[in-house]
Amino acid sequence: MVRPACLLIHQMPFSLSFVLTSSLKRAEVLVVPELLSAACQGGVGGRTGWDWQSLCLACGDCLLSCFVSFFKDVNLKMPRSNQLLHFAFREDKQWKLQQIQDARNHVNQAIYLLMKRDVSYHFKTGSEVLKLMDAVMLQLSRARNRLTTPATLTLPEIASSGLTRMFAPALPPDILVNFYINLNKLCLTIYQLHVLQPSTTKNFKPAGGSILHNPGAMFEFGNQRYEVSHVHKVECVVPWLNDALVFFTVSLQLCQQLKDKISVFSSYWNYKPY
Amino acid sequence: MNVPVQAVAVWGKIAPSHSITAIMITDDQQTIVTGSQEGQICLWDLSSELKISSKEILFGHTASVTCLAKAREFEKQPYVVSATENGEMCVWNVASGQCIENAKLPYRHTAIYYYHCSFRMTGEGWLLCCGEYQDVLIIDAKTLGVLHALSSQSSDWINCMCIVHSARIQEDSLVAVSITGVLKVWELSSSLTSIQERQGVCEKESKSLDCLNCQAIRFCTYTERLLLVVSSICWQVYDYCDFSLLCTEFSKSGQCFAGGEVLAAYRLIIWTEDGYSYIYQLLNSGLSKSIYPADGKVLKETVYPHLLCFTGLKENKNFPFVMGFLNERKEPFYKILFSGEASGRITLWHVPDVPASMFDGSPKEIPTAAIWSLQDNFDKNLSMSEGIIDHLCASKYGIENAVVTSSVYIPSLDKLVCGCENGEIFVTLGLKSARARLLENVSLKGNLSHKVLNGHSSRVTCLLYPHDKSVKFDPSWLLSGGQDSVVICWNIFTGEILHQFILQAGPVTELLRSPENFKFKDHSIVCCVCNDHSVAILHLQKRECLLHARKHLFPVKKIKFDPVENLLIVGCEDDSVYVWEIETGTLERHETGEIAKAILSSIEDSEYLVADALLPISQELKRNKNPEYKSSSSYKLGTVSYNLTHTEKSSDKMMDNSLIRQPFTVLPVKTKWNSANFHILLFDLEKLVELLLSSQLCGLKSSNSFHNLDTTERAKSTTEKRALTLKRNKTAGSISTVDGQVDAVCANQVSGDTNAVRSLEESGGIKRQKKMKSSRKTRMQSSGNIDVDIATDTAKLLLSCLLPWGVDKEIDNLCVRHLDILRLQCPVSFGLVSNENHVSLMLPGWKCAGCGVLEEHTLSNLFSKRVFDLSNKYLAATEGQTEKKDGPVNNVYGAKGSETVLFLFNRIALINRIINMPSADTSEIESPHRSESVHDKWRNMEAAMSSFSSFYEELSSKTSKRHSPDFRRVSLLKLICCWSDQSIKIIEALQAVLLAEIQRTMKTLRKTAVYREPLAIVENGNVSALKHDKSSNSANFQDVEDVPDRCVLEESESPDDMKAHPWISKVCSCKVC
Repeated sequence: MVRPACLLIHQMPFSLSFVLTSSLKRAEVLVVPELLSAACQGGVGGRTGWDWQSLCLACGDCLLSCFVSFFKDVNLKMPRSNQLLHFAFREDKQWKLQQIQDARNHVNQAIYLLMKRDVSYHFKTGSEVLKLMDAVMLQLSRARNRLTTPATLTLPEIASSGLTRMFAPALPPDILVNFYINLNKLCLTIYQLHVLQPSTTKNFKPAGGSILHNPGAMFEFGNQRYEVSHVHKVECVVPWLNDALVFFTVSLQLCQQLKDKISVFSSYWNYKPY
Repeated sequence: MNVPVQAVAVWGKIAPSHSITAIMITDDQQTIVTGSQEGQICLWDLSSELKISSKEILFGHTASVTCLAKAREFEKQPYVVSATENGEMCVWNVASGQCIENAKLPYRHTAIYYYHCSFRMTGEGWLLCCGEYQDVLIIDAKTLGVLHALSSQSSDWINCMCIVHSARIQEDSLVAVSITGVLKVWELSSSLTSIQERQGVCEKESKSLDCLNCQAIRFCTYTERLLLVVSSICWQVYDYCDFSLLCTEFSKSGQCFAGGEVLAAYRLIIWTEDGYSYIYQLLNSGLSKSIYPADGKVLKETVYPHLLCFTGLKENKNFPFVMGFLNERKEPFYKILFSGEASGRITLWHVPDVPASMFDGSPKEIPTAAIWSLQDNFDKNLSMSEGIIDHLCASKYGIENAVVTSSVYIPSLDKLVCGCENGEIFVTLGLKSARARLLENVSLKGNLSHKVLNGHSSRVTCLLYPHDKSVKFDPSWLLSGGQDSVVICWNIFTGEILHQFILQAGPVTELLRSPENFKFKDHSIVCCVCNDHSVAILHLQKRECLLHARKHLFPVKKIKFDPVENLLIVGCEDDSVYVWEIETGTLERHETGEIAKAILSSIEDSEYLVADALLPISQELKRNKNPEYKSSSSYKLGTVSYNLTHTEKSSDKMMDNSLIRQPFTVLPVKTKWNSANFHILLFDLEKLVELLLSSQLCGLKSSNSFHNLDTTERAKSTTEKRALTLKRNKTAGSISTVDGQVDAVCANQVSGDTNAVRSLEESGGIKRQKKMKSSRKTRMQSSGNIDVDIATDTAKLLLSCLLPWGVDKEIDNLCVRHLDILRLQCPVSFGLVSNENHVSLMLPGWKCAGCGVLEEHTLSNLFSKRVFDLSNKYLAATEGQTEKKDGPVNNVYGAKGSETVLFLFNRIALINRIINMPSADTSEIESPHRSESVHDKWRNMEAAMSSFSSFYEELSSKTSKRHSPDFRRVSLLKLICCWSDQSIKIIEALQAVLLAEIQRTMKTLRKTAVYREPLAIVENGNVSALKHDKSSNSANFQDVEDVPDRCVLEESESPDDMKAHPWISKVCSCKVC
């Protein structure tokens, strides 16, 4: 029935899954430290992956500089003590970047859908292929969306996430860190907090969910009220993320082209789905 | 408060497609629930002899259903929860088809389990959900809000899980396997409090199982020791005590395991994705002891599987299957393996209690017990699955029917336009075609006026009547798009082709009018989306295609217009945006990502399009409801402006009058994947009652004196003339004065009529109070008189649909003869509009499902056996009223049937209202302060009623003269509240009430019949003549082209009835004698 499109359809899942697996190989790097080192390797000369300008921020009377070393640690220079704090990712625990984990799972699902059938399998109807393509495209677009749209988190959510417990000397209680991916960039935000006294005259208004919170945002966590005093954001381009996004776009277009071709035929058959 | 709308589905020959993605059998083994890729949920009746019959289809989800699960203890409340691809969740009452609760969360669930710990838990229980997010979410089963999440050390998506109730260790735990094959165990019963207090709950145990793509995990409750883990390539048995592997069995090449269940101790059933299943016996090998005797480890006995039986399907192996197994230890003790296919077919196997292999040891095949699909039901009940215009085609082509592929209903003209598979477009009248389709009267069918528009060479894919929503368009324009890539602009009144737009871009998928605020050089334009993802902009006045935007790579999802800069903004499915300049036809910008989102969101208020809406029913309903239930002033303004701008057409001079909302609408519904369309008839009870009452007042007058009728007609015609001159003069705003005149005329009549004076003044007064500002309402009142005919026809149609035909011949007889309610052609499929956009519709198989009677030839419209019971209860509850009602009923009988029709109608409207009361009140009633809350509720209702309309008061005062509102009403209310608690369907209640009332009427009739028979006949004749006169007059007034067949219709009705049922007179005479 689907003779003209047959060849194309049967090759399709394999070419598609090839594209996907190659993008997936890169996505195996899940753990943030590795991501960081991957970022460095992509940078010119090995060490210019980070946007240095945003690292040193002048903020009023106190100067905080934040260094993210390329060797799995975070250096924070605290304004008060004026000493350089050094935080390393704990070796015993793994914290996975949820965005990449989700994207990888979606891609895995897409590959599973495509590879479920034997090489010898022949599709019988056009709509069977359309439905398969719909399912695959759904997974692919979700995977892409996971990378392009970072989660909007509230400050208590950030405070309670596993990331805060991931550093070897534990982070001081007035520091919050958050990693996320935006398109092809890995972003690190550091929030410096100060505790709001219960007697304070300030109106307490908890901040909602946001990708990046502004100074002045308030929240309650563990029976204590905090206000964000400073926000620092660093970002670096991760080249393989760029590749992955391109892969996603290409495979989505491949799927859509196949769907279009089938639907052209289907309008001539006056077809019934089953 | 719910909107009391009654819906009746008119299906077509082809069943809506239903690709099953989730399936379950309810705990009582009587209902199969399936979720589909199209987003609908289907309820199937499963008889104890394992016969399947489709019962109901539930609309509400907009995306593919991913999982189904029970949402309450099933014995108490028959609730099922469904979740979809896009995060929608819905709790349905599978007994009544009502949507109880719905929510949209940003989580996509793949499995849901209901968990309730009766002694330590408040609330209705939890839904434990897993899916495309980390770990397990706990969702409140009542509110569908997220309560908490179970967390774990290495969080990942959970593929499958199961709840382990172990009597031995007195602990409920949740066993789950993550996508990477890590088994995790959470304790549930011991962490109840910490979950309720929202403390972090971590897993108790976790172990990597080393199996990817785990499909199912099951705990053996018989041995309380074995754990079955099914992954796509193999299934494994683990020891629950220490999670040590006991056995592994790999799948044959090409087969993927999809799930499994424990049948009995050491007996398993495993099924595959392509519809096979295998039953294994686990045998003790005892080998390990002898092999590793000296090993320091604990001695392990291992097991190996032995294949006992298998099931399979001969044909259609290529669809993905979803299967399940029901191991119910209740009547009738069946073990059922069930499967649903993407083709919509359900297969059942009855698994023997003791499966055994063949004598030679080879596996035995278990035969299928039942195979069924929606289409089977449609084929079986051909008369019920007839399309709304099938009889038109039938008269033309014989038996071969053209499948309706697209349709549109024009409420202002009561026209139903249906495009067919073969390219023809039928234009008929909505109410009449519905009557002809549903009622048993041949003359209705033959005389249905219709037009056939020939122009398309292949299937008509979409239709648009642009004037409907935007008065800038000419009211005669009808647009149709076809598979041949041609858009034709018709004159709907004459049927001529005004212009053909040949697009050469694949089938036309969508036709849209431009938004109200957008004008291109003072003209409105129509947007046309084609199958090759191109968008064409058509200028109807100039009859040219302004722009054909062809660069889109992905299907078009949204279309917006920038009125300032004349830009067309097209959003595609891949989230990219194309900006086109309409005048020059150039592509201005192409953006993706964040910028695209910003562009789309920057223009908010203009019209948009969702090209891939699975089923537009929700939007349609909303769209239909807005003009219907909110008297929007813009509507009226629009009318006036229309009067100002268009004066040329004479055929549509009735536009302004008929623009007023109708008590009856036809809602065309498109289904995904297959081209077949079906229609839903919507009856607005409130509006109908309103109209009927005004008509009844009219009727009273008319029966009293002909003079009054004449004046009414004259008044109407003068109004009409005034309106016409108004149009001619192009003066705006004077309509209200005309209305005032009408009002005055009406008032004059009323003052002459002593009988009705008080009631009308009352109602008029209240009306004036309510609708002081809006002159539209008064216009409506005047138009109420005009619509008398339509209103009574509609009311009678609805009553015919509701009446329990075929139960008692006497009752049928009474209805047909005295009340002039026509018989049904076949049982109808009712619908229930539960929430704003949740609709359940009965499928053609409901008859077998509800009553269990399978007599094909007898017409029986009984919804369920319960109805008798209910009607008796109702009679008992309202016993006191009977005596007092005798008087009015006699009058009714003497005067004419229409008053009884009205009375019956009011009754059902009242019941409908009571049932639709907010459920908060009903739950209150369950509380100890029972009587108090009942009174409260009654007060509430009283308030609601008086605020809504005072007709009921008036009516009850009229029909049951001196009613005392306290006692009997409360008893009735209690009864009905009780019904809604028992999740009795609204239509069941309505039918029961109707049955009871008819029986009561009949009783009184029998008493009086002896004396009054001859008189009654005379009066009947008189009335019908009167009615005929009046209806033809009003018909004349309403629609010129309509008159001839209406006359024929009215004339042919009465003799035909007599001829068709000669036994009526027999029965009757017997009674008299």
